[in-house]
Amino acid sequence: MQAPPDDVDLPASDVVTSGVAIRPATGALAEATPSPVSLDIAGTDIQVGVIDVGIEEDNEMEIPESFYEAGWYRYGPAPGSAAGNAVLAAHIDIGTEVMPFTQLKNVPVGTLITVGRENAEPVQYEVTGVRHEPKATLNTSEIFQRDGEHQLVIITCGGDWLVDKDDYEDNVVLTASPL
Amino acid sequence: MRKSLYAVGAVAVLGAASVAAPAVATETADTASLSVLHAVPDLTVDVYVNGDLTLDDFTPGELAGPLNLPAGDYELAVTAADAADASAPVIGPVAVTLAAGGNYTATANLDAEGAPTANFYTNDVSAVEAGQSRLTVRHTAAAPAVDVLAGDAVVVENLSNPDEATLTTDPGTISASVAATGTTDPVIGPADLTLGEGTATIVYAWGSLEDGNLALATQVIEGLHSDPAAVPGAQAGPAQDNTVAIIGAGALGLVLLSGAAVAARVRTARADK
Repeated sequence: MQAPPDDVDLPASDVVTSGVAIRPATGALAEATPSPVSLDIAGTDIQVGVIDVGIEEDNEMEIPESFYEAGWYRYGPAPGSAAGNAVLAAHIDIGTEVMPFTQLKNVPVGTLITVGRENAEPVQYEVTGVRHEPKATLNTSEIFQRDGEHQLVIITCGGDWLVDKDDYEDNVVLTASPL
Repeated sequence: MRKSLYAVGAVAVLGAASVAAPAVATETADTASLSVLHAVPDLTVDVYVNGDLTLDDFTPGELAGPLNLPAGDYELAVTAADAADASAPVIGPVAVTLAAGGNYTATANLDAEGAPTANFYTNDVSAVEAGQSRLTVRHTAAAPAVDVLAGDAVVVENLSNPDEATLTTDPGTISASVAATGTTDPVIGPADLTLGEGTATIVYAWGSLEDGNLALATQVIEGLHSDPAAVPGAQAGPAQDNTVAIIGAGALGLVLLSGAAVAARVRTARADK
């Protein structure tokens, strides 16, 4: 294995020739954004750890087993990103509804949210709204959008328990803007 | 920095974040995206599109574009870097047709026997399933048929110049190497390839086996991701939590539940909602 010839003079940055961007064909890495590790919603019991999650085989977002952990959808923007929605989600407990995320539906607008990050300063958000969205019509392309103004989106279940569907009727969706 | 990456193994596939924003897939009704890869070693060239100088002093291992061009027929020609016009191309002229909304890469490369030639590839920019990554491998090198390995596993078998192979895989970093088909002794790599979720990564094996300058070039097309279908934010409580106090609370809750809800709890203890 030899290196290519040394006389290949590679530019230090994009060279624009005739208006066309040229760069070494060396692929790309997304800019590394620190992963979130904790979530604290002021005035609630939602003071939990955060782990990276992905996608389940049924194409649903993966959610941590523990009621004391939220999952961050690691393929989308992270908290602290410049653009797009950072999505966190966690379970409530069916029937009992005593676990922290059952309180998500009652978080007032203006509440302070602090997200701790791995090897980085925490980032803070202010709640802009909490809404119920029927699971049947959940607008996933809006919730998981990777561009546009940066937001923190926190999701769990709520609304009525639908016996015939063996599921809650709604997702509870909290949105927050960076401070 | 780039030179040191080359020195590591001529497969400087990482670190491009500092180089340039990757190409973002664009959806426009009337235009096509055309990228151009220079994969002929030791040759600085000019590239002409329909007789107009489009890329000046284009050097090996560089990727240009994407150019957004109106759909239609084009003639591509590659000349020596000091040519006055496109009348005496070293490669081409090549006639290509760009369809509206299409995404293409033209390569100037060596054929299997080592003669300069051009290839024209159509890039798959359809949506990638949520949580997955698309990997395409193109053989544009003066070399016999190869296998592509990720770690020890053969992921592409018996690929010949100018063929390509595409697969969908988990995102992440793979240790990629290229070996003569049926063997595992790398002629390129191993090199770390980072495959982003919701992106298409196109890897070109280029250069010449005989001249000892085989290398990898990569092209990334972003913005092909899909969204999760749902967010299953509920699960049965006590059955899946180890905290004694919580089990107690759950047991109390269980007693108070209606018969229907109890049945639901039993069914959902094994599956997230």
